Amino acid sequence: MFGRARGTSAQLALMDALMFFTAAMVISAVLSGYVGRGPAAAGPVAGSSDAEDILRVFLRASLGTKVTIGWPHEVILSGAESVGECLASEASALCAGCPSAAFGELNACLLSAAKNLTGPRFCPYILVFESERNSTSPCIALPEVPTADKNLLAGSALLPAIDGLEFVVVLVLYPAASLELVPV
Amino acid sequence: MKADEQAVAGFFEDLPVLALILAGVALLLATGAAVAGRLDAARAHDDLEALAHEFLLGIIVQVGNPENPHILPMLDRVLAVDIRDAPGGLSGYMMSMTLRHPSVQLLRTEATGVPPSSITGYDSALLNAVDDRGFVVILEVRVVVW
Repeated sequence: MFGRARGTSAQLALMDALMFFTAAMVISAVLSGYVGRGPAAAGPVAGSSDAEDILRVFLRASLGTKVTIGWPHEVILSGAESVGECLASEASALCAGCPSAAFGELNACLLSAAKNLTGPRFCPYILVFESERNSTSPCIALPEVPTADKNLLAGSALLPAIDGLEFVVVLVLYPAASLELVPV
Repeated sequence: MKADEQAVAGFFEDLPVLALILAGVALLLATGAAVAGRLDAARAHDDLEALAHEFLLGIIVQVGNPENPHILPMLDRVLAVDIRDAPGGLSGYMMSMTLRHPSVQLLRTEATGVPPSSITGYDSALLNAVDDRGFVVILEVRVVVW
């Protein structure tokens, strides 16, 4: 009788000890997992406020190089013109019916400057919308309209008004890791 | 050894129970120590990030025109800024100024103190300046502190 009681008690004690050990393992795993998500894995380094900061300095900057525009006749920009003024003038001209090919050199210069600012982590897209028309199609899309992505960042600003037209420029930063590598 | 009828189940039967309990306690203590270490490191990193931000703000305020913030500073003045007034509590820092537009060019670097061995704080900012041609350029100022 005593042997049987001792065996039962031993099994109960062993079960209690096992439960305690299992609870300790679960608590340790939860604590380790919670603290393991530290600042290094907190999320993207840049935020939308960074996109707005980049856009703000970008619009104030000068073109920095001579650019030729082919409309209405050949015009050579000295490079002292600000990026914001150039974008506003281009948007106004495109809305007036100017062909987009006339601004090819200017667009290449602007896109190159934006890429130098954002570095290899992001691919920049520059979109310009006419503010009064509330259209979802941009007047200018450099290099093209980006596809939707939950990780993209964006900032917007108002461009100088030209001929009574107001435009809004949006800088979209597309994470470079999200882009698919297309074999050439 | 004679089994003790007064005990739960005897000495040898109690050994696994004792081992499991000791292992559980040791596991909790080790996890607690590891978590405390990680939280300390995270707090130290946040403090360094705040110091880096304060350091960078000090540089930007120095080069700017507080009376009229819309007037852009000259590029020469930005490159000649004195950065000896780093926030207290730092072992060392590194600062760099890079031209981002119209060309990419490293213009100035400064470093002081023993090179970092573990945690560092980082901050960067873009700002406009006027070069000698009268063009508005874009500079990136980066600081790393430890």
